[in-house]
Amino acid sequence: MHTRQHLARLVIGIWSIALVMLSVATAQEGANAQPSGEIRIAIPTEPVNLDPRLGTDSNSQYVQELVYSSLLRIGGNLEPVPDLAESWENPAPERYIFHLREGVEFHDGVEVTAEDVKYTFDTLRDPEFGSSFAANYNAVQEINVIDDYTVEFVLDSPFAPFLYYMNPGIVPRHLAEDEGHNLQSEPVGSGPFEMTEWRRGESVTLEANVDYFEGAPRVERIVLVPIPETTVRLLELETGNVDMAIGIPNENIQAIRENPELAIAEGGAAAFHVMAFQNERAPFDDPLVRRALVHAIDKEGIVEHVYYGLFPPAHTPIVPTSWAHDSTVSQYDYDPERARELLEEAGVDPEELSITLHTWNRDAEVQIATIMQNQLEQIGIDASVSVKEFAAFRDDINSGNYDILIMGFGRQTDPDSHLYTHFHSNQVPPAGVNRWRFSNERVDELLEQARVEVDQEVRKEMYQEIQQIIASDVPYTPLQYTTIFLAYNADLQNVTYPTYLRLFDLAKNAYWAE
Amino acid sequence: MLTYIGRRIALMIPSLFGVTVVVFGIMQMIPGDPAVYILGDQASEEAVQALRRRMGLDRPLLEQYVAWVIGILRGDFGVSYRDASPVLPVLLGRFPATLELMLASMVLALGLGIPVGVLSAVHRNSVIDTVSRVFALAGHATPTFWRALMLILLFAFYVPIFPPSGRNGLASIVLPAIALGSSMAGVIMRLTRSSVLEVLSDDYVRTARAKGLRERVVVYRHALRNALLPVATIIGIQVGNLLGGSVVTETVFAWPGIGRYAYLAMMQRDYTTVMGSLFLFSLIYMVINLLTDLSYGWLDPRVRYG
Repeated sequence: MHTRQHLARLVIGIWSIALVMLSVATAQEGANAQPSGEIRIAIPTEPVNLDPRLGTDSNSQYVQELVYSSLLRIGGNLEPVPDLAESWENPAPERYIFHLREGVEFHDGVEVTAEDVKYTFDTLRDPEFGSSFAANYNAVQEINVIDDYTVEFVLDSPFAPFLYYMNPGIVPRHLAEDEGHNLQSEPVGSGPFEMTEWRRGESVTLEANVDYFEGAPRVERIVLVPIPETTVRLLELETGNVDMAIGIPNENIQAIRENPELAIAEGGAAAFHVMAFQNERAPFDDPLVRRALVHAIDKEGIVEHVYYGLFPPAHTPIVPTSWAHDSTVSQYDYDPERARELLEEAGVDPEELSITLHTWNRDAEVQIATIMQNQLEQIGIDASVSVKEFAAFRDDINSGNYDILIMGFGRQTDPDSHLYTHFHSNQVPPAGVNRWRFSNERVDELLEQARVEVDQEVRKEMYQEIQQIIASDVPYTPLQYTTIFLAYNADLQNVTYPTYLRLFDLAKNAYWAE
Repeated sequence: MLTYIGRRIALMIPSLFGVTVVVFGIMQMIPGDPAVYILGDQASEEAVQALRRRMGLDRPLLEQYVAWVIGILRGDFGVSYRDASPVLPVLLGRFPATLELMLASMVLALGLGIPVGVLSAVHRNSVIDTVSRVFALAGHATPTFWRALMLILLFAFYVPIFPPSGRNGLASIVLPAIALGSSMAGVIMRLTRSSVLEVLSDDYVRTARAKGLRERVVVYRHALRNALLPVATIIGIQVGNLLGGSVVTETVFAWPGIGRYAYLAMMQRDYTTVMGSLFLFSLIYMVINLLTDLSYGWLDPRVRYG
């Protein structure tokens, strides 16, 4: 009898708990009112590691770039601009001297000095420390503190892209060496915002640093909220629970543009996809055949179908935002007739040509490959698509076991970072990532010279010649320049998003309309 | 009783050992090299090999496995491939959120499934029965992520009663709990219904009715207890589904639990974290099944543990 009553009570109890939960839940509705002076930004995933020397994912970097200042930053034209270093000299090709701003303080009030700069880069390049950025500093021989505000880098040979690698956040030595302080979760920098709270999996809160050396930011607080699911991220923006969302799917851009309460900011282009040939494999070893196949590809059609016409077609590997971009390179219009003529000239019968398009299992890549297959078939080529998991795809393309590959490239800074490892003949895998096995003596020579040339105008001419040769020889052809979109509440003013995946300018300048 | 519990716990040891073999084996079968994922598509072969060495991925499989198991025995689940933080403390830090969501889902599933199941059985083929069976089937047959997105659209967007995501107060748990728990509610409702129907045709129920007892007493005092035995069994099994469903639910609702963390780790081939999460999930599953087995004795006095 006792237990029976027990059971009945249990069932009723469970019911009442559920009802109470529901009523409490309903009562809490509307508690999310937005205090002025705060911007809530939805990001795709939670930051991993907030130490700028270690955290490499973009979500960690959102926090790092707001909390930390660096020696130099990367500007809107992908050129180095002053940050903690107000100026620098280059007295000899392999010597760089940086002059720091005086009186800049970390968020704990301790002054930033040349010692902190030396310490940051010494740990970065120390293999024991385990930073993924260590290889960027292979050329650095030693770092010398000249006085509190002057620091010298000595390279073992001239290396022009060096300045681009001066952008990691400068960490406070006194805290980095303190066993009781963990910079990976409690970052302390000298940037425009100070991190005050990190609730794991929920939010990261940043408060304005009123003493910031370029002046205090206009908003008091920035809260980053990780929301993995894109639909939900957008819904949170539309319902006003967040004020800004990063990582908006291309198919939603049009709808957001039509929504008067929202606005879109577009980041500078820095990414692109390529169609690349195995340049050692017949018939792709003949530039005529490669040009013919590029004529057979409708880049605008691909952009229209895969990217809703949002991006411009691409013709050279250096992105348009870069100072080294050359817009005068040869372009190959979509012209199936011309493709057939060129193939004939090369002595190749398209009807007898059988090509496999290799790619990996990411949506954009697979869509592009499928459209290309169709376009190649239109000039009579028997084309098929092979989609593999990334590691297997990578093994194939590294060993040259493919006809044509389709893949994407991410953020680009100095032109050397992409061109050297992808086009120098000594960079065929495993040494580098010249997976197209392209070899051109003039390109090799120019790449080597441009690496050590410190005059940016001269370098620019060299990179433009390289781009001309690549466009004419077409070891690969870029398809489109992709940007990243950011959607925000239209009441936010002064939202700028000049560089790819960078919130720095935005966080400093944006504010709420009254 | 205590000996029984002791024996069951002892039996969990070989099972958990089996879990380690399966979990480790699955990880080896998944295509994709963590080093490639960490370094990205532009990394050279040399850099990838160097990272593999640092991560210990170049060591023989058996050696990697033994090292992992010894670590677990010491309570050390290894460090994350992604951010080098120790796996276990991170998982434990996220455990309360997952536990909260699972409990809320179970409360919903039992609180809805059992009474509605009984009502359905008692009023067999009535409107109540038909409607609740349709809902049970829908709850059981629709994918969790779809239910989750529909719930968000309906109750966070068109009729904004609940927040669409996050873990902020009680309101925020309602939608995830419904999304996750409704499949289990459907299963429990259907099982309770058929089980009550079966019991209602038993001799002792006829006897009870013959004694002149009121129908309510017959159903709730006599039939339901016995009808709940198979339901208790299925609860244990359904917990496995809840754990699996929590991965999707937590990801859609940005709920900061283990499921979402495991999903993220999987996407980034952070094998140590994925293995740690799977091991922890298996352990939770076993403990809950032990608890359901123990509940038999309470439901049915004939069950004795010896």
